[in-house]
Amino acid sequence: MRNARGYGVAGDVRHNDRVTASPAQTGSPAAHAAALWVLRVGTALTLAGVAAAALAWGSPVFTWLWLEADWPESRAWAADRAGAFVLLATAPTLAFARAWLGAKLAAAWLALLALAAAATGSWYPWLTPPAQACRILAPLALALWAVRGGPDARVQVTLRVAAALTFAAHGVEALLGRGLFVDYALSVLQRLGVGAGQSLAETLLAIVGVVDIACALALLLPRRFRAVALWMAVWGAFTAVLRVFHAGSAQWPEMLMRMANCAVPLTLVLLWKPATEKR
Amino acid sequence: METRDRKTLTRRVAPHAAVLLLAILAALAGALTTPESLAADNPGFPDAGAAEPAGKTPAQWRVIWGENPSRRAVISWSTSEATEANTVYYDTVPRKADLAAYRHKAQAGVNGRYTSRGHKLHYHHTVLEELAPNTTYFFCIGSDGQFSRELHFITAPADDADVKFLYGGDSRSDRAGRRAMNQRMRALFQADPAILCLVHGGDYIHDGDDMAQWSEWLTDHELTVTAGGRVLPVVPARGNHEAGDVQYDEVWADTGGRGKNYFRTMLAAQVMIVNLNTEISAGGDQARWLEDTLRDAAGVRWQIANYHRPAWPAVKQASAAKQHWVPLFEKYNLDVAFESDGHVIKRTVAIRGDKADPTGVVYIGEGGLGVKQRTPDPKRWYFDGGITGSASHLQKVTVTRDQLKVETILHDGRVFDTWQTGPRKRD
Repeated sequence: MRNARGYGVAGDVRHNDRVTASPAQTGSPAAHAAALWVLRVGTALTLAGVAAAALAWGSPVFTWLWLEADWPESRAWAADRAGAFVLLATAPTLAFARAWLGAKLAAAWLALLALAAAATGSWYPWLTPPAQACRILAPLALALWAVRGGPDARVQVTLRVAAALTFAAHGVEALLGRGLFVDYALSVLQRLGVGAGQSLAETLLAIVGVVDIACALALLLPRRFRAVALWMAVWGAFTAVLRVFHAGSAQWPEMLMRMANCAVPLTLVLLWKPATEKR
Repeated sequence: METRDRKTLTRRVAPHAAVLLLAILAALAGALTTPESLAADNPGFPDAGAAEPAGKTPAQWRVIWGENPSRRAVISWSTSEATEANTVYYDTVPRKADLAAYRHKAQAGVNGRYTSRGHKLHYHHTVLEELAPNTTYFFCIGSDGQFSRELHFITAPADDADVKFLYGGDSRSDRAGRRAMNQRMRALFQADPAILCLVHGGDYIHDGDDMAQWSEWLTDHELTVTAGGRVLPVVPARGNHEAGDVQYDEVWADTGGRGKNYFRTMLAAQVMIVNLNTEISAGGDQARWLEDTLRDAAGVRWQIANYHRPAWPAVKQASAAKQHWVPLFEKYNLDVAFESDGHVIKRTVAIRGDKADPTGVVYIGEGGLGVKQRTPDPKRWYFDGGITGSASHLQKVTVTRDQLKVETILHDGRVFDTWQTGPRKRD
């Protein structure tokens, strides 16, 4: 059953009655449908990437359970793989609005992964959960979208906060001169034929950091800066693809798991598309 | 009406039940397809410790080696309270802590309080320069009238001498295991006085900004001191658990430059170790420095690398070392690279150009100085012809003119693996 705006939601009357506010203040149903699918596909790819990385290399949950919580190694492995399989199983359910419980389960596991990464020795651990906000909150936004029958204000706030946190955290990492990011910047400059040294890469990175933080702040303002969201989507896609571009095709899970960094702002771009009036 | 309600309820509940069922089945599938564990050897180690620092008494003494350990060493220690006068008295003959008898003394040039939220501990670093190579130096540390017992260390040789050293990493989260491994190091050190130092591959403690943990590590390091008072010098490398933490430089006296921490160590005229930092840019200045260092050292017979996160891991994924440093290792024919981080034992086959090649570089590690051991993934192609294992361990490296030998020694003293190679031809 579809509601008045054509969202595929759990379709009982009572459920739809809960959507008293307009699902979105702008955008045509077609744009909203496109936004929904962008978010679904982006989130599903992210889940696949996170699961693939966990199955190939193990995840921070394994390290945390085994080293910090003192679980036996075999049990920690089993829990880690179970989580990865749950992510893989829930990815297709994102296509079904009524199955929003799958999105919530995925979000919970992704949140646990971020906390475990912070607890097990990542670089500036307090930056890890916000840096992963897009991948954690994207499935949550999908669940909210389904429950509330459309991309209402809460859904959009969730998406805005997700993108803002991810970009702000990455901006801070760039300003702190994270070594991996310096190498990415060097890699890009070298591919562009700029025989650059580390200092130029660090300068570039500082600029990127400031831009990331500015974008994050702009996204949290009441006014909708569609161009900013578009830039964030492009930059999110670019930095995800950069993982493979820089370190080779074996890094594809790293690329996939960052697809939410593109999908979340792109969803906002589509949601904020001005509706064209028909005569 | 009731039927309609039931239908509505069913329609609402059914998708969630289906998702839950799917999730449970997936979780079961994941758990049940977990590869069999090798039953990692993680025995409960008996506890054995040294005392924490108290008052102004010098404690947590250590000797730090950087670029030129035949001529220069840093003697460092901690005091619980701040002190004014911090001095190292030293000589080439034992003086039994008779301060007036020592021929040399040097003031601690760098003193301060370790950066810490609550743990009060003070560091003191004294640089000893213009030392004589291959010479025993006896020293006594004094802080505001409180003194250590007499200790000693032997400087590295400056000529083309044979050398031995220990390698290990990851001593971070199993204190009893760390102490057991320190005692193992002491046993090896006492049994074989030709051992010069410990080359550490990083991840000393769990939280690199937690001085309480550092203090425990430093106190435990005293367990490596022999019964006769010989101190095992440390050549440090930075690990991911102390990635951006200033405490690392406060403990290791800025070895390799504050925050940079990459440097070469000449253990003898023909033995070079390049100590790298995997926690900063691998491809920028550090890669350039590495290339310059390897190119300029073409005439050095033995070339060894030490860094934390592995290029060829036995678990987890490869670090940036693979992309930025491995091509240089291969280009300049490095003899062996020591890696840490994985908490496993590993020795790869010789690798060149992403495939097994007898002319390639062998990678050995991967961290077992006091941390629970993982089950490695022996199916990775670069272990076909190599070895993997899972037990607390360290490597003893013996370098002669004709041979470089690496023995992987377990916590109980058994030799798990021996690998050796001859000198390479370098242009």
